[in-house]
Amino acid sequence: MRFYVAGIKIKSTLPLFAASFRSFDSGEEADVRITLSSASCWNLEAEERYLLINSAVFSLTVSSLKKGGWLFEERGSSSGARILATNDYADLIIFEEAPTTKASLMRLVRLVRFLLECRFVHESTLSLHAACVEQGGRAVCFTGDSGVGKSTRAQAWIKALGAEFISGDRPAIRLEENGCTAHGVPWDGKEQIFRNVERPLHAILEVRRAPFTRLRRLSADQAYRALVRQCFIPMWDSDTAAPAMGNIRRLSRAVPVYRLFCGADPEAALETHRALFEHPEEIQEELPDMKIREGFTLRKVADEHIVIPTGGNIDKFGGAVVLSEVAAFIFEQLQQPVSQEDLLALVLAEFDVDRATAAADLDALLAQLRELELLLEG
Amino acid sequence: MKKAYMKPEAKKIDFHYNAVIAQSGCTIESQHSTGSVGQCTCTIDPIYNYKP
Repeated sequence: MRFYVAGIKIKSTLPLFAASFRSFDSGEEADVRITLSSASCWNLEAEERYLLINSAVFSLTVSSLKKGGWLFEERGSSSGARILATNDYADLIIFEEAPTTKASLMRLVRLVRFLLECRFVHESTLSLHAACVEQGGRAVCFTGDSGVGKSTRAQAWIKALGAEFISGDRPAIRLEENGCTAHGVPWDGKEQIFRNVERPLHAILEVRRAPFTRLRRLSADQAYRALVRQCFIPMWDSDTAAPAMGNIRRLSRAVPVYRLFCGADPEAALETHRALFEHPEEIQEELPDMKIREGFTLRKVADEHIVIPTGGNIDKFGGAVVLSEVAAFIFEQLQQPVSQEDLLALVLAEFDVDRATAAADLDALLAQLRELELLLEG
Repeated sequence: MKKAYMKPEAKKIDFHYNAVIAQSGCTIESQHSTGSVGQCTCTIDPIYNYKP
């Protein structure tokens, strides 16, 4: 069986993935970039072992092998899967009996997906955590942290503009000579929303929740920092992690990346679409960002908002910080990079206060956070 | 409807029992508040930096 995913030919000797991969079938033999096969298990000597995921449901480890390559092992509650990959992830060998249950098949697909995404790095292709829609023959990606509302913003475009999903959770973005293309992939998120289509990527929108609509174009550095949080990077393998980060840098320069504050209403979708497609030259550049340093967490204890240092910061910081209600709101917004102008807009939308008072108070609070060395800027 | 506004402020405090509770996730506040910290089930040393 041969599949064509994100412009990359995959050949499999296993009758796997029949349902989800069916629409990605390719009859052509030429230019296979990834092969999937199976083998009987044998002893493999591991050098180093890394625990990648350890959830309540399953664990995933990867081991570097003495004779070269990587061994991936997934363990669920009742069974597991093992795949051997060459150093460049072009050849994947599954040590597994044919999956007998839907659950074991899904586990194997998840593991194979993981390894295909590793190979994609070497094919100038990224896996972006985003909901991706097609509108007017061009793709727009809504990216951001889990729970921020990527899918609901994409759904608003579908309802208001007649856009169509390309991928609900994880499009592949291919870097081309002249721009980038977005592709549906057959191992999308749990909702399995995808289509086998390829469209020029028009824009990436980093979504933030807000009761107003505001679109700002990110600088290349801001875009890079935003995308690094949302792209797949195999950190256990420096030979693949480095090109993955290079791909992200290229993407951040090749495609406009915007920060989008908005709700999930149709008006916000229409306004954003109009700005992106009709008047992109009128979109202002985002101002410099700031955010709270890593290693501090906000807890509510007996009606008090307390910032607690964690890890190595406990000894270094030597205390905690008590925040007032409004300061806690601002601190939460500062968990992600945000400009002072955007912070002020968020405060004005949330609280009953005039602009001059809020702006002066925000200046003072940021000065306090700077003095406490909690703020990262620039 | 917008929320009532009060001036945003940040004030640093030394570690004391409240901070220990927040750090460990412990909710047995009364045991700390009364000073009987030895009974706390926090995962970190309950007398760590304790300043009554």
